[in-house]
Amino acid sequence: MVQRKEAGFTVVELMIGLLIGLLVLGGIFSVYISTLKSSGSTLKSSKLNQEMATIMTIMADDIRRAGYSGAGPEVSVLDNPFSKAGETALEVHSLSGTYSNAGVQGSGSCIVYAYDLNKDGALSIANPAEVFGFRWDGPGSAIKMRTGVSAAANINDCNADSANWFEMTDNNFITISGLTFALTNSSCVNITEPNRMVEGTGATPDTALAAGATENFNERDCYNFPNFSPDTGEMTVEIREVIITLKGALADDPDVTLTMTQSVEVRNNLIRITP
Amino acid sequence: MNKMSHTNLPGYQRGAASLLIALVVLTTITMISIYTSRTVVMEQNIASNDYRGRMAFEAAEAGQDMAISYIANGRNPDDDVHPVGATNAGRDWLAAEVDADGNDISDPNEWLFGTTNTLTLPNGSSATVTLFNRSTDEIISTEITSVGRSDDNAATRTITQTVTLITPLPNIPENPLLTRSTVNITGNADIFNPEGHSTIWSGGPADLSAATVNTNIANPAGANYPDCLGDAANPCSMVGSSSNSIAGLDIVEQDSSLANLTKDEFFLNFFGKLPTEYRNSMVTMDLDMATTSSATASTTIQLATNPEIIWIEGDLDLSAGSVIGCAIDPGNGLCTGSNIQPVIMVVNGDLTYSGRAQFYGMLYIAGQVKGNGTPTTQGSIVVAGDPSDLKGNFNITYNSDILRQTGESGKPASGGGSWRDFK
Repeated sequence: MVQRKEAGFTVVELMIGLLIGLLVLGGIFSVYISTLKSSGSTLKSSKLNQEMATIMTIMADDIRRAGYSGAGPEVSVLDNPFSKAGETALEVHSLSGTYSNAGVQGSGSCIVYAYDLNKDGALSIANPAEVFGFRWDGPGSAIKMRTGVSAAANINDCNADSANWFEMTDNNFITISGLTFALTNSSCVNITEPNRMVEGTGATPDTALAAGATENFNERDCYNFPNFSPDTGEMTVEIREVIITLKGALADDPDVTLTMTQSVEVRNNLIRITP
Repeated sequence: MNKMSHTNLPGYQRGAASLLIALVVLTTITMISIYTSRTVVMEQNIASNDYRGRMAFEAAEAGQDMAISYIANGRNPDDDVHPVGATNAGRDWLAAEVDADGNDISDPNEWLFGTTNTLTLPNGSSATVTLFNRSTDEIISTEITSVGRSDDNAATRTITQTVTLITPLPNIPENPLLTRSTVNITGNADIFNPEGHSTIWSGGPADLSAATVNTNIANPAGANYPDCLGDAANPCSMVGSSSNSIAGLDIVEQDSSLANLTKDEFFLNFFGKLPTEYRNSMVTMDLDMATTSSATASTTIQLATNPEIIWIEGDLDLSAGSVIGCAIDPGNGLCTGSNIQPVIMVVNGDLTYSGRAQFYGMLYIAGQVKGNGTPTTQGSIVVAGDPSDLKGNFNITYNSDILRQTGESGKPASGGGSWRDFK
């Protein structure tokens, strides 16, 4: 009888072998899964980051130019057609039902401004449109960019001309969950101060400074000095700082979120004479 | 059978399955990693491009701010002070090497237009600043273009802004003596206008009868006439025109366009601003006579080494021997060349003089002129008060060059609305 050498494994051998195989495979798969996961989130966050940084840069660079006029030094800054208070000057509007002006130090989700794109010194509302703006109408909306107005009266109106506001973000790609333009850090200087007068509150007229008295330096601050607004004929310079806060998430993964903040100083100050 | 045959048995190859799966999975992981790393590298590129873009923008802004501050400070080109990081061998940053007119400040006529000025910043970025002349007849203005570059020269940003000098004397008077109302001249007065044909312009009557007055105007028969008109550097030869017995055409009196102006409107005519506004924004030396004695004020305002805009609030009794608008006391001679530092002096009150006095520039008196002495003026005297009494040995010589130089002590202001970062 030929003694046949047994080629099989014992149960113990087999189990040990299977266990080792399983452990190796398990390890490899866990590495695979974690690589896949981290790679996925890296890709997602990078996608969101790029998209939002681009939007932010577009907005910041454009807002910085507000009020530019190519008219040259012959035209007084007071006659700058791109920086007329209450008309073309930069304004931030807030939304409650409809948009309304948020005030000189207010904040809101719509910003409107104008600058001289073709440097000819004259305001044009179409071809080329020299009035611009960004707005976000609340959850579910995309960020919209303004590409012109139908009438000059609509320049500082966030509600009008809905056909001229175009979506610049894609709701299928990113969900915008917040956009704020805040003028909180803006300041105003009354350049006729110090004028050796004590400012009267409200309708009370100014009175001459008593001999030897020191004038209140805060009278220069035409935004914050209590109960004080510049008198008729006084010249003020407003330095606008816009703090842009942008919040967004990926549409297909709402867990990937990003908040960005950038502060922009509008280089062309608003100079006006108090009417 | 040996032990080798043992391992060749198919049963021994069962581990190959694990190996195969592991290989496939590892390859997949590698491919995923490569793909991710490519994305990460791309993001890194985007981020560093963004960073370089910002760096270039900030460099451009730094260059521009430096240029504005240089212009604002009116630094003396002779001092050879360069901003840190400026690389301009052989000449000053933004300006000529030499203070051509010798007034110790860098004026618009010493600025170098169209030449590049480089500024290297500590972080390796750099800015190239170029000035362009945008001045018109009325406005001194320059456009500053600053090109910023990142440390690796990859990113470039260009920003442009216009700076305008707010001139303290927008409307230069064209007469040696200009009064809003009556002018009475008593004593010996000599009034010269080598650049034109008009000497006294008054809103009221000009009474010269009690004086030994001589007015002299540009001589039409002179060699370089009429090129000499309005040219202070090559003035015309002069010819006598009016005296106490003859009123020539050079004296314009009873002009209602002057007489009808209020004092504020009269002031506005020359200075472009109302008196209070002007005092607050333009004046470089402000003396309140309620708290300063005339002797102290006279000492303070004389022998200035820089062109000043002086405001005297109240009445000033000018001390004998005061020399205003000249760096030295020329004694009985005249101040010349770089010693002339013309001033604009506004006296919001009466000016009383005595003895010898010299004045270079624009003298505006809101009240009356009184006194007795031998004052000499190069430039122009404008009196708003009523009446103007000029006593003593007055000598007024009109000089448009001196008056124009007072304009250079203006303050630069970056024109709101001129900043742009696109072409």
